[in-house]
Amino acid sequence: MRRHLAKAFPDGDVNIRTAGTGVEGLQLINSRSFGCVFLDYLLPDMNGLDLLRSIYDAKTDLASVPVVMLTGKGSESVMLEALRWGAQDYIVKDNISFHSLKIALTKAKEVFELKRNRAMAEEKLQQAQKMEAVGQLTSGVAHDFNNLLSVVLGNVYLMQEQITAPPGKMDTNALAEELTAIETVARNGAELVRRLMLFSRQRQLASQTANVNDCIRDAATLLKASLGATIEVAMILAEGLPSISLDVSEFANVLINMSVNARDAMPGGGKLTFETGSIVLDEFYAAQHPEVKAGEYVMVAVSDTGTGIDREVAHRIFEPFFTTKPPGKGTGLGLAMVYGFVRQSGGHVDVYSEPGHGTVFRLYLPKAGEPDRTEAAPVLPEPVQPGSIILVAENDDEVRGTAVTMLEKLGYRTLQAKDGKVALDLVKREQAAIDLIFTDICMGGFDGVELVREARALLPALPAVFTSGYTEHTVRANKIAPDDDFIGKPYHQEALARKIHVALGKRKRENV
Amino acid sequence: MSDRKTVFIVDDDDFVRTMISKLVASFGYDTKGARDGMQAIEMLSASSPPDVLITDIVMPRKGGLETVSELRAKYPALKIIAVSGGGRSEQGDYLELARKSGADEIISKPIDPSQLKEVLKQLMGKQ
Repeated sequence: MRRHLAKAFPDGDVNIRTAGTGVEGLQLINSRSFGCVFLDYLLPDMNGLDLLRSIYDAKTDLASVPVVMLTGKGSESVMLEALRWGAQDYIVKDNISFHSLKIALTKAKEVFELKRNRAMAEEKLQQAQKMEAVGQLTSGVAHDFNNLLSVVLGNVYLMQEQITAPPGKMDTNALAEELTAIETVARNGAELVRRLMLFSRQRQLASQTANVNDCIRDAATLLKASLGATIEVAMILAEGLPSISLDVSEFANVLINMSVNARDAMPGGGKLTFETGSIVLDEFYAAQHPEVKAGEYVMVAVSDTGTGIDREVAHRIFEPFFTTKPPGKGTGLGLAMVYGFVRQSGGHVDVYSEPGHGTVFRLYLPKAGEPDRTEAAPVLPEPVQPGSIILVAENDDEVRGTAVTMLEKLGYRTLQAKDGKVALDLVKREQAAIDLIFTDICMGGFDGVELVREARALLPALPAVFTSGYTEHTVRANKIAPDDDFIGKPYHQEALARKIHVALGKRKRENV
Repeated sequence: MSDRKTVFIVDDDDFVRTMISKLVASFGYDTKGARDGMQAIEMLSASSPPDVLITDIVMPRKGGLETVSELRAKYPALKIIAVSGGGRSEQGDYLELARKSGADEIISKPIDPSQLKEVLKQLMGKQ
């Protein structure tokens, strides 16, 4: 090996150091900087992959130095693992020649440099995005601070009046009150600074376990003044959420970015709602969204009552530099940053929008800790009447397809309609054959609520389950009655089974 | 009957509203207060108008700019002071907009008590 290297670089500008064991190698790597490390897989005290893992940095996806792995013939899995853990290249030991070494060394150094530069540029971009988001807060925070200072100056003025009063006229109770007021607002000011620091903090090395609700409360407090008085901020935060691991500062900036977008979508004012909940994304959902792993997630929904986004735009909304705002108004980086954050957290983001009504962004952040793989498959309730016929009305072909698959696996039969009108025609034609309507609420024009109303004019006891991309809170406030059955998208099979089961059961009771 | 002048204070921040009330009382005026423009307009229509109204700009429900325009149309003799902690909308600086909407005076936060005293004195003198 040494001989080959000397031959590859005969003029002596390459300084070669060798280590006979993994421990020795690690000590050398940590003690000085190397242009490249040729790392054998078979070491007396550990294997090369273990050594590689111990110098791997996940943030840059690189080891601390350029690495070329040396493996035996037929060790494809080792080669792949080496590349996965930050090596730039590998050489099969039988093929070592001064040529192959020279090429591998040059290439490894080049690839390493390119990748490291990209990681540094990305970090700078992230910091710039963060500062842009903080900039959005400046006027709001200044407003809050000026209020605090007004209270301090006002009370100081009153106290000065008191102490220059003639002896015996000084009102010590009033003085005490004024002091308390100053102390309180000073503490509020400190809290404001604490929140602001949360947003502007430099990147953290590691994620931490965090309470999503606390993050949202902090962000909402800071945002209130920046969003302007015409925007009402509401929070519907579920208690007892599982803890999740995230970078709190990044998450805070994600919340600002989404809120600023929401604000810009509501030029005439409106309502911004933060909602949290636990949710299971099941294998049906994962099958539709290849980047999603089935499992338990914490859902954070940010909804507005703004102009909405049409389908064309919704598909591109997370692309970097994509913006619908006029030049100078937006960089198009805000939602790309949201997407980046969610992917880094192992999560998923989706957007649901109805032009003219509003938009909901949902972030799904994975529950902390290793998923429990031994968990038994959920026991699905037996359908009340196997073979019951369910009419599925849904304008999104993919979503309708999934719903139908789920229902058929549960033992139901289905009829499908791509909008409210088609569904109503089916109801008129099939009449008593239909046992339940499962309908989306917004289907453009003739909606699910109208569908159910008209269907029940024909079949008064017909059970119905509503679904929507909007959050349950929004739908219940605007569209459906408190005793209507509703399941929010995305739903998983077990939850759908339970809903349908309950709704069918209602009719059974009514018929008795 | 008392001939003391009345100042009506509109601010959604309880600390600020209370502080302004105390200051104004220490200047020798009677005070009343409301949390937002909507409440202020309701209260004003139920009683005789005050001599001066001090209003914040950024408030929920009904903001200061709208409140100023409405009150100016309804009570031409009412003196109005708009206060703001800064900030601007697409149309321009909040305080300048308030002046255009009909405010007689504008004061930026943090409020300087001596300035407020002086402005109130001048406005009361004009009546």
